[in-house]
Amino acid sequence: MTGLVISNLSAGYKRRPVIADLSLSSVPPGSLLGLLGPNASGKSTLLRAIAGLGDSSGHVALNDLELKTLDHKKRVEMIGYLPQSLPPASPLVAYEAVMAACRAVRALDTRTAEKAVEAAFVDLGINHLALERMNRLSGGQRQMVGLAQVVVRKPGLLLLDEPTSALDLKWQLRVINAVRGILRETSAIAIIAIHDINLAIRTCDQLAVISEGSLLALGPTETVISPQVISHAYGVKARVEHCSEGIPFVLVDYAEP
Amino acid sequence: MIHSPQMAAAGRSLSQGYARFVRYRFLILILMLVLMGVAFVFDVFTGPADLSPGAVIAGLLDPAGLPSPVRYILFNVRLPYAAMAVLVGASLGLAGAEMQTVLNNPLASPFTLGVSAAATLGAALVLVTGLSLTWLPQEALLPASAFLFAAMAALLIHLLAKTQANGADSVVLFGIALVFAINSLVALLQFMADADTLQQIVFWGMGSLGRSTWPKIAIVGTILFVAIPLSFRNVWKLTALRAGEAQAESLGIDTKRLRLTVMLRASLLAAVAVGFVGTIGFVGLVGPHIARLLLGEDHRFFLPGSALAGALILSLASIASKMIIPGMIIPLGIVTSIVGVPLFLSLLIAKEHRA
Repeated sequence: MTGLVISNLSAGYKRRPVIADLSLSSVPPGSLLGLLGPNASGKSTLLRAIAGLGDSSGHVALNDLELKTLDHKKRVEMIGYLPQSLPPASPLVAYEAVMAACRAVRALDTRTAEKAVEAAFVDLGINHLALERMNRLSGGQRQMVGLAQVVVRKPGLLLLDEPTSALDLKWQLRVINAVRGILRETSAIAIIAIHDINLAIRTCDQLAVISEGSLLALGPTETVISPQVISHAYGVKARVEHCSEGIPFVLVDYAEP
Repeated sequence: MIHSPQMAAAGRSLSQGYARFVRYRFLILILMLVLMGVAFVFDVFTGPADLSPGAVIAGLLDPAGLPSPVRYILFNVRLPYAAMAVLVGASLGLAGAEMQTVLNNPLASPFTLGVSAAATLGAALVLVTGLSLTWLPQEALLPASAFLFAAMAALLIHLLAKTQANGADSVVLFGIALVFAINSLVALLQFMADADTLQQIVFWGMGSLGRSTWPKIAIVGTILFVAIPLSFRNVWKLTALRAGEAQAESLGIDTKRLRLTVMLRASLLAAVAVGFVGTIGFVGLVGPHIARLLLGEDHRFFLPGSALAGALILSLASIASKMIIPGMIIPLGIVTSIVGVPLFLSLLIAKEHRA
C-alpha cells in the first residue's frame, strides 16, 4: 500500500488556477497530514480537487488506484470530504442527517445503515446529540454531526476542511483523537486543513504548508515548522520554542510590514 | 471497534430512541389521512342542494334508486368537486414541498415561482382572443392553454436553474419577477377585454372546482400517482440536501441535476393541477410548512405529509366555500387562505408553546 500520491495537480477557476501544478509525495496509510496555510492559499480548493469536486487536472492516486479512473459511485465510497461550512440549523434530527448521508447514494438495508449510524455517533462520542434537532444544536455541535456524516461511510481517505474551527479546546482534541482512532482501525488516510499551528504540531504525523497555491514545505512536523516557513506563508515574525516536554510550539511576535 | 460494551448498548438504544420519532410521525400521517377522509366525506355531504347525509349514503350505495336530478348532483357535482379538491391539494402540496427543498427556500411554491400566474395568462389569452380549434372541444381548450403556459413557465425556470450553477436563490428571485411580468400581461389582457370576458378572466383567476369532470380528475390523479413514486426515489437525497448543500455535494449527490429534475417534475405536477382549477396560491406554499411543523424534514414523512396537508386544506376550503354564503359556492381560491391561515397560525403558536 503506497498511500496517497498527488502529482501535478492544478485546480480552481478556468482563468485563475488556485492550485498550480502541486505534487505531494506519498502520505502513508494510517497517517494524519495537517494542511497549513493562510486564508485563500488554496487549502479548500486542494481538498475539493482531491475529492473530485470542481475542475482539476493532474493525478491523485490512493494505494496505487488512480482516483480519476474510478466511476463516481466507487470514488464517493472511498473518499469522505467534510466541507468547511457547517451543516445548517434545519429541523432535521441529527440521527436523520447522518442516516441520509449514509443512504443518499448507496442502497443499504435498514439494519446495516442503523448500525453504521450508531457507530458513527459512538466513535465521535456524541450519542447525546443524536436525537436532537439540528436547529437546537450549537455551531460546534453541528460541526460534530457534519463529521459524523463523513465518518459514517468509513472512507479510505478523509478530507476534513477545518473540522475544528467551531470547537472548544476539549472538542478539538476529541475530534482529532476520534479521527486518529479511525485511522488506526482502518488504515485510512486523513488530511486536515487547520489554522491552529500548535494543535497541528501536536496531533499530525506530517504537515504540508501551502502558500498561493503551491507547496511550500512538506514533512514531519519538526522539520517543516521554522520561522522562515511561517514568515513566508503567513507574513508574520514567529519563534519556534520548546515546552518542558520538548514539544515545539510557535509564538507569534508581530505581523511583518 | 473501539466501543466499550456500555457504548455498544447505548448505540443500540440510539436506533430504538429514534424509532420513537418514526412511530410518532406514522401516527401523525395516519391522523392526517383520517382527517382528510372525514373532510372529504363532509365535503360530499355539503352543498346548496338540500340532500341529507342519509340520502347521500343511500344514493352512493344504490345510485339506480335515486331520482335523476339528485343522481346528477351527487355524481357530477359533489363527488367530482370533492375528489378534485383532494387531488389538486395533494399535487400542490407535494410540488411545493419539493420546490422548497431543492431551492432551499421556504418561499418557493408553484404560486411564487410563476407557474400559477402563467396558467391564468394561458386561460386569459384563450378568453380574450376567442380562440377555437376544430380538433379540440372548447371546454378542453382553456385548461390545455393554461397548462401549456404553466409548463412554459416551468421550463423557463428550469432553463434558468440550468445556467445558474449554484443559484437556488436567483431561481426564486427570477420566479417572483416572472409573477410580476405575467400579472402585468394578464392586466393588459383584462384592460383590452370586454366586460363579459373580463368577468370570465377574473373568475378563472380565483380558482374554482366548478370545472371538475371525471376525465379531468382522471388526468390529475394519474399525474399525481406517477409523480409520487418518482418523488420517493429521492427521499434520502432530498433529506441529505436539507442537511446542507455543500455536505450533500460532498456525499456524491449531483445537486444540480437533482434540482433540475425535481423542479421540472414539481412544476409540471403543479401546472396540470392549476390548468384545471385555476389559480390556487396558498396550498403549495403553506402545506409544506404545516407538514414541516408536524413531521420535521425527513422526506420519508415530509413529502407525504405535505401532500396530505395540501389535500386537507383544499378539502376544508371546499367545504367552507359552500358554507360561507348559504346557497352559493364561492370560488375556491378565495377561501383557501381564509381556511388555511388560522390552521397554520394555530400550529405555529402551538409549536411555540411546546418550545
